[in-house]
Amino acid sequence: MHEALERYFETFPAVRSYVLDEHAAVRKHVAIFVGDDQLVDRQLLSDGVDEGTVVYIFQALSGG
Amino acid sequence: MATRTALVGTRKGLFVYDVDAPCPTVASTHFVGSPVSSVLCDVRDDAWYACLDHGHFGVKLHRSDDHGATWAELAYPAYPADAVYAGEPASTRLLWTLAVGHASQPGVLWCGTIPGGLFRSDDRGQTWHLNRGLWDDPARLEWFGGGYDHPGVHSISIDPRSADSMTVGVSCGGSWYTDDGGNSWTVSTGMRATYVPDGRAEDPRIQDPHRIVRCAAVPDVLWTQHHNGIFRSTDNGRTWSMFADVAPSSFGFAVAVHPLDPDTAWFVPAQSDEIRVPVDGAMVVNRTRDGGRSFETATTGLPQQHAYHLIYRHGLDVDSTGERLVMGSTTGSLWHSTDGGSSFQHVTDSLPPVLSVQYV
Repeated sequence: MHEALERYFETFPAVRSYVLDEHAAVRKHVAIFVGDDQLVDRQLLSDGVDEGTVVYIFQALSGG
Repeated sequence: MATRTALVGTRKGLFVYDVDAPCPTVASTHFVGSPVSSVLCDVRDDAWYACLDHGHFGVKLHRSDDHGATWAELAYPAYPADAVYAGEPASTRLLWTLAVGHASQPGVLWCGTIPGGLFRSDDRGQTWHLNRGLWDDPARLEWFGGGYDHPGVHSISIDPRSADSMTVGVSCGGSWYTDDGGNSWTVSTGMRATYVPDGRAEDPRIQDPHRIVRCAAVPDVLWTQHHNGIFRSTDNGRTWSMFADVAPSSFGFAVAVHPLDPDTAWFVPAQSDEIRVPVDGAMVVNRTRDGGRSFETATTGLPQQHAYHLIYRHGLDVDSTGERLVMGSTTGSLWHSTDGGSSFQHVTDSLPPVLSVQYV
């Protein structure tokens, strides 16, 4: 996942600080799915991502 | 009379108002839908800054060099890897206040954040550095959150006589001053807290000055609306003296001081810390013109029945003449005054909750 996100941010650098905090961890209210499964390692992003798997990045449903 | 423009940062966007036009109008809107936690106009280069609090996507900082026609996203003040808060890496939770640096330091900006970091930029907000003098002071560990979960720097006041001299206000962490440009800091004394055991009441490190402002023309004079009352310093923020029992209440958040007259300051009282609405539902603004010996209560133009507004820390501003004031409430109303706060005119009641106002 770390590698996948880095490639994403290379293409769209402005997105980085919206998905990751200053310590490179996934922001608390951002949800990442690897296929249908939620990302497990939100600190180091060590989850594996198979070729062809779709990664989804969502914002949590909260606030008003 | 020339119209004056005010930046109004709200829970759901930045609204630019021509506040004292015959029919006050919204000149432009920006970041609609996003919380704008703080706004700043740098009078030195006419740049506008907007601090955003996206929540899910973190805090962000934007600058406009063309009065809002276009905005550029800048780096936000971020804590270095070795900055720890409560056992975890510190992370910027809120950009609470922005301040322009000393007149002799063009491009310098300061930013106060939650959880308690003071940041400096030397390049108009392009890059930021945590002030280690304050962050590494052991007394910081005594600070705690008030209103928010974590402590924060909400007031930054540069001494116009020296770029090395400044005062910052922390909730809840007291009033701090430096005379060496921020390398070392000293906590000021004289404030008193009633929300801690008596033995800690005068501990300067746990005080909750809600907002600290300085008289531009007489910089030794600063005023504070504290959680437990109104305080004034006449020695450049070294010590503070309390004005007790100000009617109808000495609780509130906002304070403004006349830029030319250190004896004139404005406050917007609420009933108490347990009941944060105007006393008896009547919205008023208090003004002293004699250095706190007496206070006048303005009601003209303000709702006097069933009004439940609260003016936050940064929700009141005075212009450079001291004659105009603008204030915005948590229930989305905006007022302004053109007679030094003797009376107010209603501008709108349709805004999102107002977090920050500033004259341009």
